[in-house]
Amino acid sequence: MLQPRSSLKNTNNMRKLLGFSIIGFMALVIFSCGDSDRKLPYIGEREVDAKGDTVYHSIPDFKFINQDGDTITQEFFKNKIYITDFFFTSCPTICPVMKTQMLRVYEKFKDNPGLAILSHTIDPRHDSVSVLKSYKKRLGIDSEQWQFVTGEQEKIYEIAQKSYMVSAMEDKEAIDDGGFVHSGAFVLVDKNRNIRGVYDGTKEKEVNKLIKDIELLLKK
Amino acid sequence: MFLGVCLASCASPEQVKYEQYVISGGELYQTHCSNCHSKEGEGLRNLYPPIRQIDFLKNVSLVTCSIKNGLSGPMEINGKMYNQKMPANKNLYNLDIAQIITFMNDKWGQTKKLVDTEEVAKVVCE
Repeated sequence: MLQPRSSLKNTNNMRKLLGFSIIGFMALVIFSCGDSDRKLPYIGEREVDAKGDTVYHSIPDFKFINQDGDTITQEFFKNKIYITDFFFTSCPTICPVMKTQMLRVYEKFKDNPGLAILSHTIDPRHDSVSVLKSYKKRLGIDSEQWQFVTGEQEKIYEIAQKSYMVSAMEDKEAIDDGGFVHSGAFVLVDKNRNIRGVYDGTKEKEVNKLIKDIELLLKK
Repeated sequence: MFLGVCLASCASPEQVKYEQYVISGGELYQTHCSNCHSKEGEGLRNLYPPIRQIDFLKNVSLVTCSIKNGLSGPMEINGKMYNQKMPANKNLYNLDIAQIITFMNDKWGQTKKLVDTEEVAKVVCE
């Protein structure tokens, strides 16, 4: 009789212990992953400089022309965080979906001076300044906050691939895709020009996460 | 599935064919049309026109030719001007187009009538 009773007691203790551990673990999860304390990762290669500090992958200086024919450089984004993407106006596939999602971000943070949006065309031969201006207008964007830029094709592809680390290239065989291959990524860049997140701009859930991450980054 | 069996067993052959066109047409619409015209057919602001409740849908020849050969130049829909090139969909068969048009009319048009392959096939585009 002693044997079963003792094992029953052990089981009870075990249950209690397990119960406490689960509560403890949940508390740990809640406290450590609380949204306000959440930290965004740094994306890309990192190096250690002569002083021993970590140097994160950052976006170099750039120079493009916007929908009004004005020059846009990194200066426009000084003290701002920004989201960037690559598209072209005649794109029949993922671009309309990306623009629908980017519009959600735009509406959410409209008139917030801490956030800007930078959309690069990957088809500068067709997407001239006037084409971009008309596209922006028909999309209903009437603020400086969202910039559409064009420039030398080489420079655009280079900054896409090397700096923002997303794919963008011309592919004459991709007829159904409008002759270009590009990623549908939205890249989130912080005030120090470091990449803090990459999101699939064609998926509503990922863009929900981007919106949360922007809120977090704006608080810092 | 159960509903499908019910429909198949209770409905007339014409009704079954219509339901099949609507379902297949809906899938084709999602693949080939919804990126621009959106899932619910409302389009995107002043960039891509809506498909909902427009006179355009009544005109089988115009819809067929627009899908087959695309569209370009300014056009007015529901009192708004649009000017975005629509690409040609050369890979779609007449059956696909018939199903898409049947689906769009079922969902957004005024008539719930099957548009069959022959009707699409006899359309002559410019």
